Amino acid sequence: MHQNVAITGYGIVSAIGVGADANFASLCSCQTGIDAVRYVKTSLTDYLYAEVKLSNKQLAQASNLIYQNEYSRTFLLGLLAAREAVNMAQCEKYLPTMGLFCSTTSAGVDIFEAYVDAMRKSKNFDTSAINSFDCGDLASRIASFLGIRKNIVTNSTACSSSANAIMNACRMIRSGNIDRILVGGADSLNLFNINGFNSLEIISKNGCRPFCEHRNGMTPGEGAAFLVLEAEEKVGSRPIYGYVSGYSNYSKPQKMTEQTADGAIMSMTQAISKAGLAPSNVDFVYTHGTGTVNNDMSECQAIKDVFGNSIPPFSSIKEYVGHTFAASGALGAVVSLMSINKGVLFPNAKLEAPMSQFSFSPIRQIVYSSPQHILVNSFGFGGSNTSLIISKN
Amino acid sequence: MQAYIYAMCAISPQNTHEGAFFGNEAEQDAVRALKCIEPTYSKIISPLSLRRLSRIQKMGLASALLCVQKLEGINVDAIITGSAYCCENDMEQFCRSIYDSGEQDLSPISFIKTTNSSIASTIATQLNFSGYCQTYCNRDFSFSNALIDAMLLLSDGDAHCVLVGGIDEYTDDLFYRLSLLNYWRSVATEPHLLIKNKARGTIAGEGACFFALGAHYSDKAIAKILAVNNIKAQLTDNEVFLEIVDFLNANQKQIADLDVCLFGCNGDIQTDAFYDAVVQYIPLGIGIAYYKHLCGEYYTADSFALWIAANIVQTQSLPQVLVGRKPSTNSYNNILIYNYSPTNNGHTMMLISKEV
Repeated sequence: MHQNVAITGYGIVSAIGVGADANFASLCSCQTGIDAVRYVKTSLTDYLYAEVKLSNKQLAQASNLIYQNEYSRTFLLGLLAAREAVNMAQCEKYLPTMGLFCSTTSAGVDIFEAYVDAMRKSKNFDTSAINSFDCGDLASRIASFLGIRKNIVTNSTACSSSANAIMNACRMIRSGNIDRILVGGADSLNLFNINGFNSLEIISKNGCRPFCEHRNGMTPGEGAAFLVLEAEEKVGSRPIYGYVSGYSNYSKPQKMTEQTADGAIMSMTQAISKAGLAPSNVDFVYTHGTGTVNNDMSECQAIKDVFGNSIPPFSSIKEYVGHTFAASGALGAVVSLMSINKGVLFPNAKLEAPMSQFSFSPIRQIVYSSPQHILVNSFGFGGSNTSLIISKN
Repeated sequence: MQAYIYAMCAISPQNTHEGAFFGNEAEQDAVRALKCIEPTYSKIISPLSLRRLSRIQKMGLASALLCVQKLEGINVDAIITGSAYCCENDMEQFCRSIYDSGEQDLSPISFIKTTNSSIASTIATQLNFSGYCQTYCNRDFSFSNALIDAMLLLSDGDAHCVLVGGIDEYTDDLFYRLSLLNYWRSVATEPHLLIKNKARGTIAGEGACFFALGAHYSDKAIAKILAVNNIKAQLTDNEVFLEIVDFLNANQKQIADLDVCLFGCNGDIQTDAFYDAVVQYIPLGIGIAYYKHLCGEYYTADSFALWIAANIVQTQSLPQVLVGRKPSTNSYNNILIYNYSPTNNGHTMMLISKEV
C-alpha cells in the first residue's frame, strides 16, 4: 500500500494559453480567453466562447506532428497537456510501466461532424478517421504516442470526469497496484456541445460571470489538463509540486440538468474528511462555478452548509477558461498547484454584484497567499458530484 | 484484489435474460448482425420511465434491475458501467439534427440523452441510489476498466456490493461506418458456423450484462473473479502466452491449473489466426471455448464471456455450443477469458474460479 500521492508534473492547454507558464501569466493579469468563435463553423455567433487560440494544424505542429484527418481536436489538446506533464515530471523512463487515466465527453465528435457533413454533401470521407469518434480514442492515441501499455482507463461522467479520473488514479496508487499514473482530461469545442448547451438555453451571451447577481449562463470552452501522480516514496529526488490528499464522488439521482446542494455537500464533506482535515483547514476553494443561475446558487448553498460561519475564500476559473467539460476538474487541480507553488489565488474580477442570497462572495482581486489545502469542485449532469483536496504537503 | 459474483443477468442475442444457461440451442439463420432477445421492458420498468429512455438505456437498466432482483434485499452501494460507444447513437442523431435544422430548435432532451453516464444515472434513479457512480468508455477495455474499479472499491472496503455492467448496442449507423473498414463479413453468415468457417470479417453483436459483486465468500456466491488485466501493445503469440503465464502466476496459478480457456475468436481469418497461434501453447488437456458466435462482435462482449464463465463454474457444465476443443476434465474450477482486439492492439484477461 502507498500512503501519499504526490504530484510531480502537470500540463495545461486552455483558451488563455498553451502550457503552464502561459496560463499562469494570463491568470495573473486576469486576462480572459472568452471571445468570439474562431474555428468552429457555427451560426450561433451571438454567444462568446472560450476557444484555444490555435487551429488543429497549429496544435499538431505544437506537438511536432504533421496534422492528419484522424486526429481529433480533443486528442491534439490532450497530447499537448499530457506531454507537458510528463516533461515536467521527468518520468519518461517510467512510461512503459505507468498507467494512463483519461477523461472526455465529446471525444472525436468534431470528426463525426465532418463525417456527417461529407455524407450529406456526397463527398469523400477519409476512412482512416472513422475510428476516431469514440471516447476511447483519446487514451488509445496518447498511450501509443507515449508508449504506455497497461492500466489504460477512460471514464466519462460529464463535467465531473477528470476529477473522477484523478480520484480513481489516487485510489489505484494507494492500493499499491501501481506506482505512477498520468491522469487528466480533454474536451474540444464543437457544434455538438455548442448546440447542446444552446438547446438547454444556458449559454451566456456576454461570457460567464460566476457568482454574479446578474449572471446569465455558462460559456462553452475547450481545453486539456494532465497531472503525473506518483506514490511519494517512488519519487526520489525529483520535485513534488503538491499532493492529492482527499477526494470523493457522490452521485445523487436527480433530473439530468437539475442541481441541488445535497450531493455537493456530501462530496465536499467526504473529500475534506478523506484528507484527514476539518473544514476550517481548507484555505481556498476553486469552485465548479459555471455562471448558470442553478449551479452557482446550489454550490453556494453547499459551501454554506459545509463551512458554516467560516467560509474560505473561493473563485471560479471559468471566468477565464470557460467550461472545459470533462477537463474542468483537472484544470482546477492544475490551477490549484499554481496557487500552491506560486502563492497566487485567482479572482472573479468580472463580478459586478455579489449574489443577494448570500453574505459571502468570491474574491474579486488577486490574493498573494500560499494555501496549504485547496478544495476543487466538479459537478456533472445527472448529479455526479466530485471534490478533490490538493495540498502543499 | 478479487471479488465474488452474487447475481448476474445477461441480455444477449441468446435466450439468456431469464437466467437460463445454454441448452440445446437451435441453429440460427444467416445474419450480418446478432441482435438481442430483449425482455418485455414494461414488466421491468415503469411506462413513465420507459417513454424517456433510449434503447441502450433500456437494455442497461433492465439488465441491472433483473440482476439486482436476485440479491434478495441486499442494497447496492456503487454502480459502475462500461460501454465503448455508450450513448453514441443518440450523439449521432443529435449531430444529424444540427445539420438538418440549421442549428435551430434542437431538443434539449435529445442532448441530455447523449450523456455517457446517463445509463448509470438512470439505474441509480430507478434504485433510488445515492453514492459512487462511474462510467467507463474505453473500447475493448470498457468493461474491464469497470470491473477493476469495482474490485478496488471492494478491496478497499469502500463498498460491500457493487453493481457493474458491460453494455453496447448494435446500430445501423455504427455497422455502416465499420463496414467501411471491412469489419464485417460481406455476406450473411450462420452464427454456429462463424468460427468453424473462417473468412474475412465477422458479425456484429450487442448485449447488456450486469453483475452484483461482493468482497467476501458465502455459499450464495456464484463464482470468484480472481483477477483482471489488460495490455495495449503489439504482441506476438508467444508474448501473449508469456503474459498469460505471468498473469496466472501473479495470482498463484499455473497454466496447468486451467480447465477451460474462453477465447474471443470471432471468425475473422486474420484475428482467429492469432488466437489459434496462442492456442498452440495451451496444453492439450485444457479446453478451448468460444462465445462470439453467440453474441457477435462488440467491444464489451467480454462481459458476456464473464457471464458464461460464471455459469460454467456454477453449473459445472460446459455446453457443447461453446466447445472448440474438449477439455480432459469435467470439473471446471479455473477459467481464463482472453480477448484480443486487433484494432487497438488490446489484450484483456480475466481469471474466474470456483471457491474451493
